[in-house]
Amino acid sequence: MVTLLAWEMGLFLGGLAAIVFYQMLTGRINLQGLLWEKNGAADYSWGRVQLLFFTVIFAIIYIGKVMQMQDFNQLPEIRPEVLALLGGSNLAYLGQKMYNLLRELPKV
Amino acid sequence: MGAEAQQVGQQVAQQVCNLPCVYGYIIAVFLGLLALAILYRISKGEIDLSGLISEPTTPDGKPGDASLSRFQFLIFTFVIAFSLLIVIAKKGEFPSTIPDAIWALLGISGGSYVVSKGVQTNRDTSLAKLAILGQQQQQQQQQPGQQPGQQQGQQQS
Repeated sequence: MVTLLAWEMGLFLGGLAAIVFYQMLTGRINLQGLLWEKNGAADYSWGRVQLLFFTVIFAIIYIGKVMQMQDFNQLPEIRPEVLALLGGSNLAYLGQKMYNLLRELPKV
Repeated sequence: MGAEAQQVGQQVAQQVCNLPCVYGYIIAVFLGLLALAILYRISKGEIDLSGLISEPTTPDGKPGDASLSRFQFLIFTFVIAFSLLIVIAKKGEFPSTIPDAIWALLGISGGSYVVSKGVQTNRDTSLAKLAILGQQQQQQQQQPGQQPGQQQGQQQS
């Protein structure tokens, strides 16, 4: 039964990922403005670009680590340096977002 | 002969699948069919994913732009789900422990999403309030020489 459930889970997750990816490619899932500043000017935001870059790189490396595992007792560990990098990347993104908000609102 | 056959049948049933096992298979098949139905409806567009990673519609009715924090949350969710799936498929059971770093990762992603949503909502609300204030000031300027009380009385009548 575990095999059956694993197959079901795999097919569901795989199907969902394929559908989401396909809909992103065809534009059905809106990706417009993903890397833009949210100020209406459609400027590219370097904070967003770096966050996207680190997110995708981490995802690829982690899945690769899982595929290469020998011992399947638990998921692979994530090094604290990698967590710090992702945390810093998110902080940079949020910091830029807040800075733009303060700059956009007129000073009272 | 009949009793022996019945006994053998019961032994075979116990070895192959007893009643709880049958219930388990029924639930597993049901979950599988449910998953299939969900995937089918998503592919047909009946379950709409167009706003999966979009910000909410703006106050003036424009569709929201894509949100990077939601996109990141989606990516990390899929990564962890697939990792768990691979471990379960190889090992045949749920892993004994989930590393703390995985929880930290989800916390970073979820926290970033919540803060980002808060900042965006704050921005939209502040801009909407400023727009309303601007309109009120404009109306006051268009009716010069009137006291605020007189203007309010006119508005009430």
